[in-house]
Amino acid sequence: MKRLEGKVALVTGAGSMKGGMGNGKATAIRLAQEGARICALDLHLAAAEETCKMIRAEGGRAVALAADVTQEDQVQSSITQCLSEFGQIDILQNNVGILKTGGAMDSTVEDWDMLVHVNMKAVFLPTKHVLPHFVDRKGGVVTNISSIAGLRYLGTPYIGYNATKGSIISFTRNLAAEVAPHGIRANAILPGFIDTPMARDITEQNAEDPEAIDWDALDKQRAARIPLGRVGTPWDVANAAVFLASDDASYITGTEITVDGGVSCRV
Amino acid sequence: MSGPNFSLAGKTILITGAARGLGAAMAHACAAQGAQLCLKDINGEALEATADGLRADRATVRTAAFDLTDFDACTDWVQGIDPIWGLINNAGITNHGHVLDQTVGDYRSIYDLHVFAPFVLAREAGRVMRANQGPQRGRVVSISSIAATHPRPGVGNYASSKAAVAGLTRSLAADFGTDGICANAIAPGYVLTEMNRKILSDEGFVRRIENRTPAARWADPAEIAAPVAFLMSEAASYINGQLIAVDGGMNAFLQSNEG
Repeated sequence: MKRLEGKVALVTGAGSMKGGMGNGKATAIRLAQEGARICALDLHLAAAEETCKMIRAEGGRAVALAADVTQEDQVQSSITQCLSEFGQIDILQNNVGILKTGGAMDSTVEDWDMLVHVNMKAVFLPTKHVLPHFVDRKGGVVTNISSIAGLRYLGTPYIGYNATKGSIISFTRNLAAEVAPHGIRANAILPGFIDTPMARDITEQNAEDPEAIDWDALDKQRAARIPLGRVGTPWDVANAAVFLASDDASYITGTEITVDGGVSCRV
Repeated sequence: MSGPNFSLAGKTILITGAARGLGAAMAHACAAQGAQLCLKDINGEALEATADGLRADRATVRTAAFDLTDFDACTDWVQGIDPIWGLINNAGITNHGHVLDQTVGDYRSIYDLHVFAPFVLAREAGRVMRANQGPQRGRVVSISSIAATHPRPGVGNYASSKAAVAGLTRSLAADFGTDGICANAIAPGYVLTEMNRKILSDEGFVRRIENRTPAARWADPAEIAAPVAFLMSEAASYINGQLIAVDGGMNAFLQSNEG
């Protein structure tokens, strides 16, 4: 039995950099496998189309939308398009996020502003504009992608990224309290070390010689810190998103589900 | 590409405190996903009634009635089961009272059931799970409580024991992780169960909890059981060492007035 039959999900950041598998793409695919129809939204239409192609190849229904989720008018028109395509939205999966390296002393104001602008508006704007529809329908689920980096320092200076990911936790808790009377749930997923194109990209950017990165050695090094002994996959994150979107999570709101193989529960 | 695997088909799962309330709901949720059940309760008669109901739905159920604070009996029970996929530490009791009125014995009896029995069961079940084949070898889910982090007055032994459940869970995750065994805890909010019969008869209290819960209602036991079944499944294979709130938003919300 499929858990999300009859539901419609709007997934932001549903495309993947460089054609690989990211959290948003995997989540769109998993939601579709459980029966949801998907609006796959991405800054790059081709990336969103690629996700939709994979969903359709498995017999699912999906439409691709190109939008910048930090622009209010584009968010509004995306939601309108999603509604005209499928007539409803039940699930909003806010996956868009960017990452820039730097601590307090070496981050530029431009980088800081960009992180706050993208990572915070990416949860605020789609949520703000989907809520009237959720209120009308007396239900809906918002799931935001935060990070265990929002809880603590993870060994690399990402102060702006980590601060915005921490504030997504706070945003989600406040949102949950605000919208619960309307039957709407809101939760955050905190991924740990997940092998995604974005994670590889930042590792390459930080390397003196990206060509010389020994990915297997790096994975092994990271895995040694993780109780489950492996780096996570986007599918691990996607499965948690499916669960939170389903009625199995009907009493779960205002909380966080960490998907990190146990790395944040030990020193 | 296969979909997320929420199935528990063919997996043997042990559940304590399974006769009524949350434990019985968990047994039904796991059975609905195809699990084979080993149910335990101190009340053998009530346990058999629950088991018969599950068998009527074609579940495979074995039962055991003993006192979990008899740790040798815990060991014997687990050692008699092989293979084991999952352990659900659910059994719990309350013995509330103001800190000034509580004895060490009042604390110890609660800790025996809520902390030491889950430790013994996880230790013994973990030995068996480690022999399973493949990268994923088992699951432990223990029932903590919102009281672990947000106690109301007069529940010190209960609340602190449930905090210990969260601590035990993190250590199980750290110790068993490399064996492919995930350990997590659920922190339910206020649930409509037999154990809460006494507080449920206080209408003012029931309303107060509703006012302090964003969802504005108490949980049905099935709403706690479904997340437990999820954590038991292979779809939850990278969730480890977590305390997951299932409380209608209560932990995210601090009402500034009595409401």
